[in-house]
Amino acid sequence: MLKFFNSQKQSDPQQLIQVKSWVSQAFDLSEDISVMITQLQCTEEGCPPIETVIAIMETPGKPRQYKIHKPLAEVKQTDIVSLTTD
Amino acid sequence: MNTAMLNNQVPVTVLTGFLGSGKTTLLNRILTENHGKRIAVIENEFGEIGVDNDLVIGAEEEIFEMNNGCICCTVRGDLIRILGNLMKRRDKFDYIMVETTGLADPGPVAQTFFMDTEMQEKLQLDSVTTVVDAKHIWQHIDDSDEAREQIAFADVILLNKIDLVTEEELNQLEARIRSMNGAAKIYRTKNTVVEMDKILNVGGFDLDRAMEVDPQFMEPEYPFEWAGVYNLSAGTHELVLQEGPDPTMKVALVPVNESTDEALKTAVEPVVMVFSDDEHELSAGGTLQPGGQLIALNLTADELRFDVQIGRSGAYALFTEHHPDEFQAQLFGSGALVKPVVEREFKPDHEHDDEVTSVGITTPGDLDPDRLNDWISDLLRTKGIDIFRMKGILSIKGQPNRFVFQGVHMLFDGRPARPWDGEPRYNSLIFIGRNLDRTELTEGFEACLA
Repeated sequence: MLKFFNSQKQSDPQQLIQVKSWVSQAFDLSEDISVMITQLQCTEEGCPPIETVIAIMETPGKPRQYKIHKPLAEVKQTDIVSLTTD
Repeated sequence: MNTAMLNNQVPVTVLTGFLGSGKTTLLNRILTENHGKRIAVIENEFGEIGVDNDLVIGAEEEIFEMNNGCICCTVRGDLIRILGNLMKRRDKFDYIMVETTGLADPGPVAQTFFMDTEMQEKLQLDSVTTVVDAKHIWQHIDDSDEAREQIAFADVILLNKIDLVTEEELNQLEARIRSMNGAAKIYRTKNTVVEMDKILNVGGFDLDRAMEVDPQFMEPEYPFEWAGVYNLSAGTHELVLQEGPDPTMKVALVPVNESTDEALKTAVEPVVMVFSDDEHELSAGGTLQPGGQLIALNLTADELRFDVQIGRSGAYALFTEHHPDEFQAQLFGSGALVKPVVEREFKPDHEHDDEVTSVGITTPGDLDPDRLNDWISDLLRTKGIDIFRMKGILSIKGQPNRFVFQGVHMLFDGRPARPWDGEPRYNSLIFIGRNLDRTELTEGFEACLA
C-alpha cells in the first residue's frame, strides 16, 4: 500500500455524508451536533493499516470517540449501529 | 484565483501572536479594509478588545486528542463545533479568520483543518499568520514554547512595532526567526500596516503553492555564510578585521564578470569547490590575491590587517566563512572604505542552538515510492510530535507529474501536481520542528532515491 500517497482526501464524499448521517441517526443526534470523521493510518505491527475514527462533539470538553478498524469506504451502517451498543 | 476559490472552499486564516503584539489591531484592520470580502471571525479572546464585525463568534479553547494508539492528533473541539455550525450559514461570508489567544498552541488549530475529511473539502486553511512584537519578543523567544511554536507554524510573520527597535535589532531578530522557520514570509510592520494580499489568500497551505518559499532557504548548505562583489581598481587594498568568535576565517577572492547578482551566482558553485580544497593559512600582514585558493586568515594577532593585491581593475567576489559583521571586516582602498556593490548571505547571521529549526532538503533524482512510504511513515510515527510543519515537491519514479505534499505533525495531504514535461526532475522539501536532526533527515530521505 502506498501510504504516503494515500491522501485522506481520496475518501468518497458521498460515503462520508452517508456515514455521518448513520452516526446522527444511530446516536439520535440533533442537527447542531458536529460529527467529525477521519481516517488514521498506522504502520505498527498488528494494527489495521487504516482506521476510521469518529468523534461526536456533543458536550464541550467531552467528545465521544469511536474507532472502526477499517477504512471509511468499507464502513457499513451495521458498524455504526454496533457502536451504540458498545 | 487560488485553489480554495476554484473548489468553492472557504479560506481560513489563523491569526496567532502574543498578547499585545498587535494581533487585534491587525484583525480590525482586515475587517475595515475595503477588500470586498465578508469575513466571519472566530475569536478566542472574545470581548477583550472590541472587534467591529457583525459575525464574531467567541470560542473557548477546548483541546482533545484523536488517536488510534499509534497516531495521535490534537485538535480543537470548540473550532470543530463552531466551524460546523458556521458552514450552515455558508452564504453569509466569504472568508474566516480565527484569532487565537496569545498563549495558544497553533498545532491543534492547524490540525483541526487536516483532520475531518468533510472540513478538508469545505474549508481551506490559507495560512497561519503570526504577529511578533519586535521589541518584546526577546522576553519570550528563549523560554516560551508557545512563542517559538507560533513562529515555527507560521506561513506569514509580521515583525510589528518596528518603530520601537533599531535596524540592527530587527536584522538580528529576523535572522533568528529565519533560522527557526525558513519557509515563512516575513514582513516588517508598524501598527500592523501591511497590504491585504500579504495576509489574505496567501496560499500557505495550498499544495499548488507549497514550494513558494524563500529561495535562500531551499538552497543547499554552503561552506560560506556571505559573499560580496566589489569593484576594485588595480593596486593594493586592505582587509581590516577585529577579533571575532573564531581564531580563523576561511575566505576566497575570485574575479567575476561584473558587479551584479547574476555574476555572483555564477561564482557560487566554483567557490564551493574551492572551499573543499586544502586551505592556505595567512597571518596578519600577509597578502591575499584573487584566484582559486582557499585562504584561512589567522585572526590571533593584535592588529588584523591583510593586504589585498589586485592586478587588474574589475569586479571581484569575496566569499567568507562567517558573516563579515562578526569580525567587523571592512575593505579599504587608498584609505577609503570600499563597500560591496552586491552582497548575499548564505545562512542567517547567527546560528543559534535553537531547539526549533528548519531543515530543507533539495536533491535531484527520482524517489522509490515504497522506500519513501516506509521512511515517511516511520518518521511521522516516531518524530511526528516534533515535526510542526512539512511541505515539499517530489519526483516519484515512473510518475510523469510532480507530487506535492503538506503536513502538520502526523497528518499530511498530498497529490500529483503539474507534469515535469522534460524539466529536470528534483525533490525539494522542508521540515520545521523541534530537535530536528538535519543529517538523519537528509540521509533518510536520500536513501529513498531510486
